[in-house]
Amino acid sequence: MKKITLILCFLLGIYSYSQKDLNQLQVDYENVSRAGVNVLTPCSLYFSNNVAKFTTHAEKAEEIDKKEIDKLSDCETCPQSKSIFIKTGINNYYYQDLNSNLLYSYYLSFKKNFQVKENLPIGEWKLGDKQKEILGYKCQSASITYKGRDWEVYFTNAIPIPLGPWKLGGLSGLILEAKSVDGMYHYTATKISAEIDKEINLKDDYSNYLKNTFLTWSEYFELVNKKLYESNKKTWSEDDETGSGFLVIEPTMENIYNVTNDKIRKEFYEKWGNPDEAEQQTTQK
Amino acid sequence: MSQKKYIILLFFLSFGFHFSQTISGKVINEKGEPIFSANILFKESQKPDLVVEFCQTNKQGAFTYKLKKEYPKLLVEITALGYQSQQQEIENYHTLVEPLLFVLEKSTQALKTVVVKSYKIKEKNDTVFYNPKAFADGTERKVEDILKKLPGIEVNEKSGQISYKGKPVETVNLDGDNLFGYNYQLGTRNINVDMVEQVQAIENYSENPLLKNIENSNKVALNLKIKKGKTDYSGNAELGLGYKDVYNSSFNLLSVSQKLKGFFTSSYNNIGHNYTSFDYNDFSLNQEQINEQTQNAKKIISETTSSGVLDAERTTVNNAWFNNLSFLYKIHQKVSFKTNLYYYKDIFSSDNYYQTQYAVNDESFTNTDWYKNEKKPELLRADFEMKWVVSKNALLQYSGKVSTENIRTQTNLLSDVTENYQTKLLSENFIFRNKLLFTQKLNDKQAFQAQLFFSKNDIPQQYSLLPSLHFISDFTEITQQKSNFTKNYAEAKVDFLGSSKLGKYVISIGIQYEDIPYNSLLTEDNQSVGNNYENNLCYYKSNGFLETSFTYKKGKWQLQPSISIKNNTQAFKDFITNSTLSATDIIFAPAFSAIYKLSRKSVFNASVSYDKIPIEDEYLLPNFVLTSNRNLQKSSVDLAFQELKTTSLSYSYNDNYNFFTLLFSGNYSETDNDFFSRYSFSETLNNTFYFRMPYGNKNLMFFLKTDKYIPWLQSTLRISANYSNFLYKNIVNDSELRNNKAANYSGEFFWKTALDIPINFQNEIKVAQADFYTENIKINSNTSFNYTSSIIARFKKRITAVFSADYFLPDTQKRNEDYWFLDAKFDFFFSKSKYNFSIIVKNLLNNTTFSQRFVSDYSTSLYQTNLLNRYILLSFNINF
Repeated sequence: MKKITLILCFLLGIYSYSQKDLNQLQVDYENVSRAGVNVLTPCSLYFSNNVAKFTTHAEKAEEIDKKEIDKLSDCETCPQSKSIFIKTGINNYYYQDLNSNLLYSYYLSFKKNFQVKENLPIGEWKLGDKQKEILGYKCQSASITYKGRDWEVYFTNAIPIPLGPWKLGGLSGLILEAKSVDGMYHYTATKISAEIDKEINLKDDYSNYLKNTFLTWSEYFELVNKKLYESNKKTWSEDDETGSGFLVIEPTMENIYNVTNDKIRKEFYEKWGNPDEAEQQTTQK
Repeated sequence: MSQKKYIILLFFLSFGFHFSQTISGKVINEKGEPIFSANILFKESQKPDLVVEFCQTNKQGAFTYKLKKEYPKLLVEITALGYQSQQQEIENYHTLVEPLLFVLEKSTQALKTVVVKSYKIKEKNDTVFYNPKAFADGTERKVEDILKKLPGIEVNEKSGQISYKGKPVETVNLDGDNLFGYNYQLGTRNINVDMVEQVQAIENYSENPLLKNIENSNKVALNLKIKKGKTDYSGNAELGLGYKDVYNSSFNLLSVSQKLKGFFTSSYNNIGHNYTSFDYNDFSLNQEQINEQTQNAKKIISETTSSGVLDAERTTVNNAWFNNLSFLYKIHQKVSFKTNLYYYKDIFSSDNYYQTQYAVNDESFTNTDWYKNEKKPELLRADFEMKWVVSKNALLQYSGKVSTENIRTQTNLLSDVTENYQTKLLSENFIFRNKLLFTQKLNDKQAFQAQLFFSKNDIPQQYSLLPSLHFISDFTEITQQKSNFTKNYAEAKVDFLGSSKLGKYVISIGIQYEDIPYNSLLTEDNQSVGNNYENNLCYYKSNGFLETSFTYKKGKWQLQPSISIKNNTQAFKDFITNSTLSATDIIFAPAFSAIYKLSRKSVFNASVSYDKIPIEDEYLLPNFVLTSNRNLQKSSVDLAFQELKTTSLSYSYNDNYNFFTLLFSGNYSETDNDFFSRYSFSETLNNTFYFRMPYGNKNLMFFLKTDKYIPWLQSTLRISANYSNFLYKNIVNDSELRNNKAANYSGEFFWKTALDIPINFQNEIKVAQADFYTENIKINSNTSFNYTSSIIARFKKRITAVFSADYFLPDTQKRNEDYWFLDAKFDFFFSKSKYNFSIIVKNLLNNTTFSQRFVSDYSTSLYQTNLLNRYILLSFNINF
C-alpha cells in the first residue's frame, strides 16, 4: 500500500503542482528601524528554485510612534541612531543564490546604484536555547555577528530553507524574526505563503539582474566609506565660516554608516575635543 | 514510524582516517537522487526541540561534519524542503566510522499560508524627518543655526528666510501649529536649539488639513517638534555688554503644553543685529509684505535708507528694542485661538553724503546733499486667528491683523554746501486686514472653499523743510508736503479643488474690488503752492474673474496649464478738475509651465506667461508731489493696460556621488504700453514725469551657479555668475526719447577648506560691473571688487575663533580708495552645560565712513555713509 502511495506521490510530484507548492515560498516581514525616527518598512522574501530575493517596500514605509515601537521591542534603552529617515521610495534588494552560494546586494549610495557580490554563508551562527512561537511555528534562537552588528534571530526547522530577512540566512530553517542587538533593526515575519505574488517573476528578474557588473564587498565598503568621509568634509567646507563638525547625509546600509560616523566622530574629538569630556572637566573644576 | 524501513546503513571502505567525532553521510530521495541543501540537525536526546549543531548537504547530497562538543546521546534529524523529516538516535557516534545514508520521503503537505495582523501605524507622507542632534556639533545656539546644517535646508544670513530644496519655506510650525505665520524668524532666530527634538520638512504642504492630497501645493513647511520636558517652560537669556557703549541682550521664553503654546521674546541691541523680520534700515520687503503688496497702499515720500554693498551690521547705527508675545490657545477640542503681539522701537542715526554729477545734453552740473538723520520707527501690531472645526469635513477660519506704525525722521541737511535745512518726515501706516475662510471637504478627492476678505491700508505722510524751498516767494519760511494714500480692498471668492487620475485642478470664481483715494498738498507757510501741486482723486477698480489651473503629472513630466479670465472695470476721478476716466476690458491671461525630470540628477523647467496689468498705484498722481528735498513727481494718468510677457528656462544638475551641482537659469520678460520717465534735472530741484507710450522694456537675465567638492584639495569651490540686460527708454531734460541699456555683470568665487588640522580657511572674491548705454554709446560704468578671507580655528574644549579680513574696492578706477575691515569672533561652548560665552571684535581698524559709486545713464554719484564704530562685545548666555 505504502509503495502505491509513494508512487502516486511521485507521479503527482512530476505531473502536477505538488513541486510548485513546496518549492515556492513568499514571506512578508515588517522591519522597524530606529534610524533617528522609528520607521516601519514592509519587506518580502521570495523563494523559488533555490534562488531567493529579498526586497524592501520603501513606498509603504511609515513613521511610527515611539510608544508603538516600545511595545514592539523589549529594548527600551536602545540608543537612537544618528541618522535620518528620508522617504525615498527606493527599494533595497538582495538575491541569495543557493546553487552558486552567492549573495548579491543592491545599494543606492549618493544617488548612484551599486551591485555587490559576496560569498555565502555569511558567517557562523551560534545556536541559542531560547524558543518561541511565531506565526504558529516553533522557533529556536540563534545569533551572529555580521557586518559589525550583533544579530539575534528566531528560525524554524519546520520550514527547512536557509533564508531570512535582509542578507541573513544559512541556518537550518527559515528566520522568522531578526533583530540587531543595538536596536537599529527589527524584522518580524507577518505572512508566510506557499505562492509568490503573481506580478513577481523571480526567474526573469534574477537573470536580468545578473547582467549587472558587481563589486566585491570590500571594494564597495572602501568606496562608500571614502565618499561619506568626503561628503562630510564637503558639508563643512561649503558653508560660510563655521560649518558643521561631522555629518553624514545618505542613509546607507549596514555598518558603513556607523563605521564612518564613528571614524569621523573620533577624528573630530581628537581634533576639537570631546564635548562630553570637556564638560566633565569643567564640572569637576 | 515507518522511517526505519528506509534507513539503511551502508558500509563503505574505510581508510582509517575518520575521527570519531566527525559524522558524514548522504541524503537521497526514494529514486536514489541526491538531495541538495538538506539540513542535518544534531540534538541532544534530552532536549529534542533544540538544535545544537547543524550542517547542510552539498549538490551530491553528501555532508561531512565535525562535531564541536561531546554528547552522551546524539539525535540526528534530517530536514529538506518538500520532504518529510526524519529523526534518528545514534548512541555510539564516537565509534561510527561509516557514513550514514538517509532516504527521504516526499512530503504531501503543502505549506499553509499564515498571516499576522499588522501593527498600528501613523501615516506621514512627503515628509523628511531630521534628528537635530545628529547634525549638531555643539556650537549651535538658535534653531536657525541648526537649520543651516540640515541637508536640503538653506537659511539666508540677512533675512533669515529659509528655503528647502530651493523653495522658500511657507511657515515654521511648532508641534504642528503655525504660531508665527510668515514672521517665523521670530521662532528660528530666538528659540534655542536644545528645545527641539525633531525637525520635519514637509513638501506639498497644505496648511489646511482638509485640502491635503487635494490641492496642488508646491509649498514647503518646516515643523519643529518640541522636547517634552518636566516643565512646560524653557528659555534663555543673553546679556552682552561691550566697549564702547554697546549692548546686545535678549530674553526668550517658550511654553508648550497640550492646550497652550506661547512664546515671548524681548531684545535690545545697538550693534545692528536684527532679531525681527522687519527691515526699517533699508525697507527691503519680507515675505509677508511681498504677499500683501497688492492689497497695500504706496508710500510716496521716500524714507531715508542706508543702502550699499556693505552688510547691514556694519552700516546700521541704531538702538533696537523688540518685543513679541505669541500664543495659541485651544479653547475647546474644536476651537483654537491664536494671537501675535508685536512692539518694536528703534532709533537709527545715519550720516550720509551724496554727490551727484549730471551730464545731460552737453550740460554738466553737480548736486551735493549731506544728510544727518535720526529715524525713529515705532510699530505696534496685533494679529488674531480663530479656527473652528465645524465637523470632520468642514473648517471655518477667521484671521485678522491690526497694525499701526509711525516713522519720524529728523534731518539736518546741507544742500550744495551752502543751503542748510531742517527737515521732518512723519510717515504713518495703518493696516487692518480681515479674512474669513470656510472649507468643506466633499470627498477624498474634492473640496470647496469660500473666502471673504477685506483690508484697509492708510499711509498718511507729512514732510516739511525749514527754511522753505521758496516755491511761492523768497520770503516763505516753511515748505510742507502732505500726502495720504489709502487703499480699501475687498474680495469674495469661491474655489473648487480636486484631484483626479490625470492630475489636480482648481477652479476659482470671484469678484474683487478696490478703491484708492489719494490726496496731497504742497504748501508754504500754510498757503497752497498752486493747483499744479495738489492732488485729490480716487481710483476704483473691480474685477470679476474666473481662474482655472490644472496640474498633470506623468512619468518624467509635469505640465501645468492655467488660464485666467478677468472682466476689469476701472474708473479714475479727479476731484480738482472734476474729470473722470474709465475703462472696461476683458483680460485673457494664459500661462504654461513644464517640468521634465531627465534623470535622478537633472531637471529641466520651462514656463511662459502672458498678462495685462492695469495702472500701478504710483502712476495715479496727475499733479506734483514733493517726494524728497530734490524731487517732484507726477504722471499722466492713463487707464490703458500694460502687456507683460515672460519666459523662463532653467536646468539643474545634482550629482551627490561626485559632489557636483549646477544650476542654470534664464529669464526674459517684455512689456508693452509701459510707463516711462521724463526727468528734468537742475541745479536745485529735479522733477520726474511718468507717461505711457506704446513701447516697452525688455529684460534678459542669466544666472549660473556651480559647486564642487574636490577631495584632493579637501575643499569646496563655488562659482556663480549673473548677467542682466535691461532695455528701457527715458527723456532727460527735453531730449528726444532715448534708448538706454543697463548691463550688469557679477561673479563670485568661493573656496573653503576642510583640512585635518584645527585651522581652516575661507576665501571669497566678488566682482560686479554696471554699464549704462544711451543710443549704444557707453555713458557710465563702474566696477567694484570685494575680497573676504577668514581663518577659522577650533581648539579643544570648544573654542571657536574666526578672524576675518574684508577688502573693498568700490571703484576699480580709483585704486587708492579702498577699505579694509578686520573682525574677530570667539565662542566658548560647554555643551550640555547651561552657559556659554562669546567675544566679538568688530571693525578693529575703526573705519568711520565708507564711500561707493553709483552710476546711471544720466549721472554718477558718490555716496558716503557712516559706520558702526569699533567695538568689543562680551556675551554671556544662559539656558533654562
